[in-house]
Amino acid sequence: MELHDRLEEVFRQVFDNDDLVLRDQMIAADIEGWDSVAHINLMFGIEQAFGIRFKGNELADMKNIGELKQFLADRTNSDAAPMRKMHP
Amino acid sequence: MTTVRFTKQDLACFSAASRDRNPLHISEAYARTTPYAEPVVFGALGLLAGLGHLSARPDHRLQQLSAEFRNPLSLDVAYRLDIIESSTDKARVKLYDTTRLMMTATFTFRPGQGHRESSVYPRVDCAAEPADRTSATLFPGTSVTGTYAPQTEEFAQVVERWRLSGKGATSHQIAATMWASFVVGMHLPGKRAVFWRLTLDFHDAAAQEEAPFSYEVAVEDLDERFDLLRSAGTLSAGSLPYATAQMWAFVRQDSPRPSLRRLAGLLPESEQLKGKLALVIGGSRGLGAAIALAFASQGCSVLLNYQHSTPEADLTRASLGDRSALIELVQGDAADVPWCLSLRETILKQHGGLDLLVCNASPPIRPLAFEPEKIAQFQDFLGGSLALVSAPMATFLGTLAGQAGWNIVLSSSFVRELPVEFPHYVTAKSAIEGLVTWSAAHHPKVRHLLVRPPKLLTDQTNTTVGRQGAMDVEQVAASIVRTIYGTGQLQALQILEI
Repeated sequence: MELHDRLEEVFRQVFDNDDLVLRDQMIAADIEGWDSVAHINLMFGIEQAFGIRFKGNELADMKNIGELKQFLADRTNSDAAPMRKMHP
Repeated sequence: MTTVRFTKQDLACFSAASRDRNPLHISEAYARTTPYAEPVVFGALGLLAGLGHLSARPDHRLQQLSAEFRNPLSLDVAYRLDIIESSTDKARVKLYDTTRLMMTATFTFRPGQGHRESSVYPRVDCAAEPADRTSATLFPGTSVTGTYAPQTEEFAQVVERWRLSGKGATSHQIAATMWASFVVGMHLPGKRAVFWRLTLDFHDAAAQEEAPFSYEVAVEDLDERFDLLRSAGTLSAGSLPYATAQMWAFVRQDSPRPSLRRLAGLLPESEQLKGKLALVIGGSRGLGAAIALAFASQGCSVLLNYQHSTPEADLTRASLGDRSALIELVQGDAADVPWCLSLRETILKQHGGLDLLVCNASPPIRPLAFEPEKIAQFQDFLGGSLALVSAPMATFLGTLAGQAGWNIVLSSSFVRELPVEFPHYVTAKSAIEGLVTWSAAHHPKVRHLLVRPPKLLTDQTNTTVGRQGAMDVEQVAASIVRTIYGTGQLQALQILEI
């Protein structure tokens, strides 16, 4: 499964939305239910799915989904994508 | 649509049945000192409520359950229960507060009847008070062992209340679910627990053994970024394992108290406000307490108002040491106009006037969805917030005018940041800012200061997520005092962004 699909799967599970489609320009405000609790769930979900560990709350500093994908690609040496702010 | 609602009596009954006496669930006074402000429903009770709404499974037996307690459940809220039963082997339950997902649970069954297990449990001595373990005292390998049995009478009441019979879970499996709550709430970590996730696997070997159970649970990991504790353990009947559990719980940190030492580092002690009198509405803890301490550290006499938190108000005053006589505690509801008028009379008689009014009190701030079902809570919050500012302002503006005094009102940076979870808070603070702006226009002899602090580290934000990026209250209190000192000329309205 490609990075995008794996990430989308995590988002669908965390936000309880099987129809959620991720786009690179998406920010937190674009995703219903992205509150502070969902944020921490998302963080643990991504860590588990990608076998990585965020430093502190670095997920909150990412601008958008594209930047998160780039981050994951760099960490996992997998496929990449372009970038931009995420968590409110 | 299936809805489920939890009452105070449900909590008392579950607490007695499970032996989980964590005060976050059963003590209003304790809950008030936490970010939740009111008793929180046991996660495991939410889980059992979900189980009770499944279809009957007379020919199946529960093999595994897992749950994630995403958000704290409150009393007397009608939660929507979505049940997905794709087969008799699997059921998934989701609990929503309107559109907000609060809890998920998955139950896996296998064919076969449950053994007839007695639901009469022997009396067992369990801990009566929860352990108070901080994250600094929890290490991999930290373990607890003991004997466990639920209390028979209340156990039966829980089973009946939530219609748990015939749903594929045996008495011992229900008891094992209660045990997980007991372990987290009373031992690992105990008092500071916020239960997050649970997985229970059931084994057949010991199914015919009688209770009491024995248990052994150990810490597997503590994620220091979030003070998230993962424990694993076994509940055994006789000498055989009956259930194995994986439990995740956040470990709440100490309630943050304003520190005079931290304050002195930002604002050296002085006598610059000697002879002045301040009334701090909502001053027992958090930012209000820090403001009271900051004023007193400058020689100001302070009337510290609070409504419920007597121990915290006492602590705030005592923390001043040899200056503690500068703070006088005044308990009362600042939203109550007769109370405000009575206080004004006392102030005028005893002190001749008032120099500084600080409107800091607010109803508890919990996330709230902007949905039709929540409009009553939305309006209650608005009304409560406005009352806590408008009643003291209406009462004391005239008094302040006589002294060219200060009306200091706490707003929030949220009026600009507009966080999605707090439509009620943003609206209330915006309305309060409107009132202060109006007052500045029509009470020009009073100096008005609107303060917009960022998220602060207080009891209300003292959660794993809430603490992150939160500012110390002393910093805001010191900024307020410096603003007062820095204002030579009378200005109708100042806004302090920090």
